[in-house]
Amino acid sequence: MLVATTSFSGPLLAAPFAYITNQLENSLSVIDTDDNKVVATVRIPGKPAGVAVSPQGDRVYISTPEAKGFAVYDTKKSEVIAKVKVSDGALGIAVAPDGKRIYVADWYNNAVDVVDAESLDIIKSIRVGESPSGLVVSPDNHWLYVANRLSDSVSKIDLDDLTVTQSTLVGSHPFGITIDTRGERIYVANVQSDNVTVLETKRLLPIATLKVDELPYASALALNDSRLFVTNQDDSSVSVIDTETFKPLARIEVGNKPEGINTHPDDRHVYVANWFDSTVSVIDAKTMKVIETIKTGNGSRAFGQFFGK
Amino acid sequence: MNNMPFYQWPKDMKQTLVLLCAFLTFPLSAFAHGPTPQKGLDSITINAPVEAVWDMVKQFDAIATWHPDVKASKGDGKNASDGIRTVTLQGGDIVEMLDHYSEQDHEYNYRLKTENPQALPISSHSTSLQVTAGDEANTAVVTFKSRFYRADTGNTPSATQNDEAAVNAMTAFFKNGLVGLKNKMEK
Repeated sequence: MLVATTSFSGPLLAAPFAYITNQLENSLSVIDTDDNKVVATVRIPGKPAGVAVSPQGDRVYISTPEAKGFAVYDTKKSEVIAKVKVSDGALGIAVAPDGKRIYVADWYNNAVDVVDAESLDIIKSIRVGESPSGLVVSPDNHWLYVANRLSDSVSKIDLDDLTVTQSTLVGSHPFGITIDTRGERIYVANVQSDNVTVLETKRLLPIATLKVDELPYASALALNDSRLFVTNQDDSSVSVIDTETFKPLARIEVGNKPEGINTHPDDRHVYVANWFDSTVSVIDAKTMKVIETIKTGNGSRAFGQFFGK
Repeated sequence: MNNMPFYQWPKDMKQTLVLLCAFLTFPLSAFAHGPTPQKGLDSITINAPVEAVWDMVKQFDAIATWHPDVKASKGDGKNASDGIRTVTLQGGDIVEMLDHYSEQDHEYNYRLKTENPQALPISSHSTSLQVTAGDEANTAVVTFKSRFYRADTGNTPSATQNDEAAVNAMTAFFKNGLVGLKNKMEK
């Protein structure tokens, strides 16, 4: 087992790291994005799938569906410091913008578990639609949006009283969900209908449906939210869409079976986990070209938000 | 990536790597829970030209002509997106559908449309078959790549419908198909 440690006592958070879950080999690849090298491979039992990095960058929460919960990785100590049991089928995971709560979608029990980040106790389990998967918290920390894969819907949860206030139908089998920096729009990748539903968040109404390629899985925004990047799992590609005109701009070839996708805190480089190839592709959002491919571990999924901001 | 505007560290602040073994003490999970996609990958080199091998496998609904585990196959004859085939295996029928077909790349991708755990213990798959040129002249390499889920995606699958059963079945299906194809082509 290879674990990173540090040769100094200062903060380890100067260069952003990407934390990539490798589900088939029970590990987490830590990529130093300064030179795009894997600097540590951490053993995470329980088939790690989802990932969420705390806003301070000090904790990485990794859902482990076969361990029925999630692991907490401390980025300063470079070690797993806790393993939390929450539910039967933890997959989607998100952390609040203030770092105080963790949200875990329970695939089997159709609920979202709200966990206190300090005590790691469950505060509440909120009933949502069937097979909840992607989760995203609004930047103002007032709302949680949940993609319910088998209900073909998105639920909106009020984070003050932890109740579902609204649900709306989207495309077929929504999975990954992304919110813009102003919290005004969410983008939902619909795996079975090969499109992305754009919802305005205030009334939770669809404003556009964007055609992409086969089996869209998740998305990421870059360049001041002007471009949306969508992984097409069955097409080994990423679709790029202009978020103003909703017109397609490019189709970028990446590795085989791309899944998790996130934008680097520099707002320019988009990282894509390729499940079949066990690699990460780095896309320059401006030129819309792959500029680097990084070898990770077997079955890279990285579903969620794998960069600290 | 030297031109990227990433935050720079002084060199001495770089992480160093150490091997630590006694550090994480999680018990290994004894049972599989939750949906974990499984990976299938197999290929074989055949002593025949790419075009000849492609001619044998290109008709999507005629898999029974070359795959020894397939008792019969039929379909709509369409070698394009949405083309359908019904594949009869020892334990019954499954239905598969084309997502993408490329004569030029000698490749097609397809997915499971109607499952049948008695025939094949998986609930869904997305699979590609491609014929490429081998290293030697007049040889071809045939490759299967697949992403699939076990038959019972619930939390407590039986031994015949768990991840292991799914991996064993798909591994055997690809292996037998490739060996059968090679035998047929090299006969």
